[in-house]
Parts: sequence; C-alpha cells; structure tokens
Amino acid sequence: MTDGLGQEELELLHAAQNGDAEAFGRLYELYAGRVFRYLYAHLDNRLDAEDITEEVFLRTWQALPGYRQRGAPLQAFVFRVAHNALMDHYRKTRRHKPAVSLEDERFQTQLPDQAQGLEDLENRRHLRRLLGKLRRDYRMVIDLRFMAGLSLEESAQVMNRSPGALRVLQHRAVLALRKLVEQDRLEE
Amino acid sequence: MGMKTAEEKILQTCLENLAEGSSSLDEPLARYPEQAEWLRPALESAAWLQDQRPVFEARPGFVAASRRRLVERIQAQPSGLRPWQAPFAWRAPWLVETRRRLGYALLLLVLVFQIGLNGVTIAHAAPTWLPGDAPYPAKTVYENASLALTLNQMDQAGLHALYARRRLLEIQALIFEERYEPIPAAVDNLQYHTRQATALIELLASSDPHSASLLAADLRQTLTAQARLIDLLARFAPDDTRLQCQRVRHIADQALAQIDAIGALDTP
Repeated sequence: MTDGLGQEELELLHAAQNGDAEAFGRLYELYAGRVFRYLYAHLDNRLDAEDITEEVFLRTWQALPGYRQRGAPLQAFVFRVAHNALMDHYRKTRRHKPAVSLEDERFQTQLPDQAQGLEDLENRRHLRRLLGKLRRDYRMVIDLRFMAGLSLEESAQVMNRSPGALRVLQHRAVLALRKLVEQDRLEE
Repeated sequence: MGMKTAEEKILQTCLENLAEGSSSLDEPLARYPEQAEWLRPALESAAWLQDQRPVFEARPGFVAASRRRLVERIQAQPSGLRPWQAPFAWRAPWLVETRRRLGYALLLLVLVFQIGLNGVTIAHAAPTWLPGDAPYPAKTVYENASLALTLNQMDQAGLHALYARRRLLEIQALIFEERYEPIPAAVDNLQYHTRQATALIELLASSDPHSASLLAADLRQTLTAQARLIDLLARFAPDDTRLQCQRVRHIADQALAQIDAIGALDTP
C-alpha cells in the first residue's frame, strides 16, 4: 500500500496520471459520495453541492501531475481541493446576491415520501445552523469525521495534523456541539 | 497517561465502535462506568451526528450520472494532450494555449474551405442541428474555433451568450422531440457558456460598464425567457429529464443573480 491507498486505487491513480479518463472516473465513484456529503453539510442548495463536487474533481484531474510531489494521500488531497472550492464559492456568493434556495424544497416535494423529505430538509437546516456556530476547526473535524465519514487518520491527513492532535480536536468539537444542542433545546 | 489523553482515546475507541455499528450506547458506558458522566453526552452527540448523515446523501443516480459527465468533459478537452503533456508546457504554459488557438485556426480554415466547396454555410445550417445529430459535432467545433479566434473580451462574452442561447433552444427542441439522452451533455455545455459569459461580463464591467450592462441585459432576457419555457416543458418530461431541467433553472438563477449585481454598476 502506498500513501494509504489500496491496490485498486493505486492502479487507478497511475492510469489516471497517464491520461486514462475512465480510470479517473472510477476514482470519482470511490470518493464523490463523501465529498458531496462534506459540501452539502455546508451548503443549503443541493445543486450547488453537486456542481462543486464536479468542480472539485475537475480541479483534481488538472492537478494530478503535481500530486505525488506534495505527498498528501489522494483522498486527503481531494478533500483539500474540496475545502478550497467551498471557500471560493463563499467568496463568489458574498459578492453577489445568493440564489434563493427554493431548489431543496422543490426537490423534496418531488420525492415519493414528501413528509420524510420535508423532515430531512428541516434536519439539514437545523444541523447546519448548529454547526455554523462552531469554531472553524471544530466544524471541519465534525464534517470530515461524521458527515463525510472519514477515519481519524484520514481526517488528520486532510487537516495536516497528527492523529493525536485530531483526537483532541474531535473530543473538544463533540463536546462543543453537545453544548450547542443543549442550549438550542433550552431556547425552544 | 494524562486524564485528558485517556478521555480522548476512550472517546475515539467508542466512536470507532459506533461507526462500525458494533455497539449501542449502553455497551461503552458499561465498559467505562467512571467516565459515564462526560462520555454519555459525547456519545449521544456523536450518535446523533451519525444518524444525520443519510439526509446529506447525494440523490440516487447522481454519482453515476456526474461520473459520465466528468469523463465526457475530460475527454472533450480541445487538445488530445492534457496541458502538462504538451512539450515544454512546464516551461511555457502560453505555448500550450497558442498551439490550441493555432489548431483551431487551422481547423476553421479547413472548414471554411470545405464549406466553400460544398456551397453550404455552417452559419446557415448549424442552428438546425441538435445534439445527437450526425453533423452536430461540427457545430460545436465551429463554435470553439470561433471563440479561440476571438481575442476581444466583449466579443467573447457575446459569443458565449449566443452559444448559451443555442443550448437552451436545443434543449427545448430535444424535449419536444422526446430525445432525452443528449440533454445532460447539452446542459453541461449551457453551464459552461453561461459561466464564461457572466465571468467575462463581470471582467468587462470594470473597464467598459456600459457594454457590460448591454451584454448583461441581453443575457438576462435570454435566460429568463428560455429557462421559463424549459420549466413548462419539464412537466411533460420523464424524471431524469425533469432533474436536468432543474439544473437549467439553477444555472439560469445563478447567472441572473450575478447579472443583477453587474447591472448595478452602470447606474448613475
């Protein structure tokens, strides 16, 4: 195993670096779901999250030649690109009026189970509101660990910290979120 | 081992077990009874977070569909070489761009020569071709060639706006004809031209706000009218296509938001 990659991922990476778009597409399938969840935990518009997910992988494709030199494991590299793309999106939408997020409501009402869909919508908004109150690094570790589903080691690689340091951060982040949840309940 | 370090390791172990689904909350609390006071709220928060994950999942089919789009976009890059494979690209990135432009210039000359021989003009025939038609690739090649040869920012913005309008009309025609398969690629291309148009108009706004406003107004009219029509047509389309129509609406809304901001610059 090299850089934490499985054998299949390593072969796909080498093929992609040699110009094999289909191999890159397979890597996309392996990581896209996690990247989407990470982004959607920040954005209240599903289509924005989808657009940025695709943008992340386009940027990754274009940056593939430089990947080895930087030494970050591939998934960590992809998540750093995702984080940068998210920051770019925030900068762009701060300059312009953000589109009203009716898309999520419309999308949910088209699902077979409308009631569940609307409940999910409310849960997302509630969680984003709480997470938005956290310190940036607490938010990031929670997004990576619980939303994207990365392991502690993978999250540490994304955030460029040691696993020990990330354990500390995770502990504090979870307790900080707990406090927010309790405050939120008292306010209701 | 300090108290805090021990707590962090206990929490991590319990979280790993929780993630594997191998324990309920009762099990770790029973294993670490002295830590129950702080461990219970932490694990409850973690379990709650984990339970929320499904509501952030991508919609069914998104990964597969977007993978296809991504691979198509990569394979459709103008040069057969990726930028870093072009000779001396590491030394002179401008050389790659110049080669791309020269390549399109040559292709355009060949096309014009062919047009002259056949007595048909692409400008006349192209608007009727739809994605999926055999001659359609010539239309997009011609569009790309025209863009590559247009160095003026205002003209480039105008071309991108024109090609965005064409994509909207093509999508409408495809829905009318119930030819749904080429629609995702057409929406991708619409997104590309719309983004390029708005980005160029935004750049132009600082040097020539009046021209930028005129271009912005023209693009606004196109997006408003044509996207509304696609909204109406979407009602009669299958689910997958309806989602593509939502993408069109989203693309139009994003661009309109940017255009509104640009339009304000020319206000006295």
